[in-house]
Amino acid sequence: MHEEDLKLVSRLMSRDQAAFQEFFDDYFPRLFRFTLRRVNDDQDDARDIVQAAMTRGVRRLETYRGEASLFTWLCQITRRELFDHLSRLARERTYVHRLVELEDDPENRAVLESIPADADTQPEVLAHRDDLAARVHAALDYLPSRYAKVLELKYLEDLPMEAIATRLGVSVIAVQSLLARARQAFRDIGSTLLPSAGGA
Amino acid sequence: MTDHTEGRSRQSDEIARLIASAGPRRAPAPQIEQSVRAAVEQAWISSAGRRRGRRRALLWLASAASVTLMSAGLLWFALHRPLTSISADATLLATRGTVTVTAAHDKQLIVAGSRLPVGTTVDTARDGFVLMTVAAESMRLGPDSRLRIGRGGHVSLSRGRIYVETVDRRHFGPPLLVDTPFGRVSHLGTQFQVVVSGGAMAVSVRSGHVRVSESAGREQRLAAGQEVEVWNGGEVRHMKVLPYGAAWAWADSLLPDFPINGRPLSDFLAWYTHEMGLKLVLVGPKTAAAVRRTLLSGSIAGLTPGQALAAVMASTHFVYDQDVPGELRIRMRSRTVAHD
Repeated sequence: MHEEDLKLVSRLMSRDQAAFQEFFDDYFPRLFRFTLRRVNDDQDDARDIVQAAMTRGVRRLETYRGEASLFTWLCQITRRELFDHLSRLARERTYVHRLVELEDDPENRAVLESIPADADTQPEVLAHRDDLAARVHAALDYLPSRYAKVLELKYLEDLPMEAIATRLGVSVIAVQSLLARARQAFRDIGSTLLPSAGGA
Repeated sequence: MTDHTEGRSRQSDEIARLIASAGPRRAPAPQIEQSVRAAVEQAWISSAGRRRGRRRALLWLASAASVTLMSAGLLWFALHRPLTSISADATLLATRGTVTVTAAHDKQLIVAGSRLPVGTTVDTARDGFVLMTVAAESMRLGPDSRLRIGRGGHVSLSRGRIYVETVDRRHFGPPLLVDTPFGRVSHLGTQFQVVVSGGAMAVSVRSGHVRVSESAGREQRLAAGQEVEVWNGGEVRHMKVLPYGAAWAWADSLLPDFPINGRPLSDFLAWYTHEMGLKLVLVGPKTAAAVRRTLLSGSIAGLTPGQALAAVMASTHFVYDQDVPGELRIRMRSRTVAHD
């Protein structure tokens, strides 16, 4: 069960304004990128689809059971909106990117959607190497947001542990632990989307 | 260094290389984020209200079933206590014309999606309109107005007009309160407007009930269709107000965004008539079912209510008229068949 996601949904259903900010700030950018990859980078289409999906999501919060992560649940809603959108435009298969096929493959989806906050399982490896940056970004988006954040602070912004701790408002030891779990989760997802990052 | 340690180190190096070479993730454009935030927040507010109302109704039934075990005082507490604390912060959802916010003595132009913390003052010029949420309630600020965001769901309107749409606040905690130089207005789930101008305050109720506490100490409760003017000298005038028409036109001109993509026509019509204070009349025995089956696509963002209605209806097999005051009448086009 995704307890943290369930707590956030519970707070949303209690009309907690801070929870809405947290929800939107965390999930909108990830869903937007998720959708952009599927609409040939058309920002207007992505905006309409994500808006429809998130609107539908907040109207159906009581149906979220915590069996999948909240991001996965929102991705499922987004996929339906995307399908409706593509059907309407009658251009379903013309711009579906290889990465999208990879992400949306039922087998890979099962792997991606099974990544819990503290996952230590190793999904099977699928080797695809094109569009590396997009794959890295997709992998980061699939991670719990605090994992992606700590990885980016460490490896993209190249911050020392103390600075990361200050930025996240936790201790250095907590950052070390978080980073270890984040790396493991990234490897788990990376072995699906980024073969060079996965595997022991 | 052991093989195992070396292996983990190599993997960390590889992760570092991948993430660094990929660069930062792309952020959505601010204007896109703001417009989506506004629409999703509106949907969240309205659905949270309906959801909590349903839950409270169930609690009430459960309480009634065991009422012999409960004292009247406990029952009252269960119905009236706050269920959750609500942030008093405001969020600006949309603006039109000239709008200025003053926070911490700095004046600045504001954009959709801005957070307006407690203490912020919002001023609109003669062409200015603001759509915002305050303590998770939907609020519109009209032209030539000044509103200050207070603590605990209080706002102060020193001039101009606001329109408020709320759910039943007994379910959520302290009601949103509108303070004016002439008194205080609170409510129990309603659509209403408050106008402060020319030495008087006018409170008009479109639906639900509001409570008006005059500065002089008198208190009165207004129902839908009632309006009261409270004047400087203490004079009070009662009038009637229709739920549609010119009295509400300014507020109806800046509606919250309503995403229609993939939703049935019935949802759009329900939203439109609610916002405009109209009664929806579906003419013909098969119209209601056909309206529910008709799915919409596209967007009405940026359109006036009249434009949105015209645009949506033109894409369907239905026609509409507003020949009867206060009603929006929908019928199938003459050549439409039942399964459309």
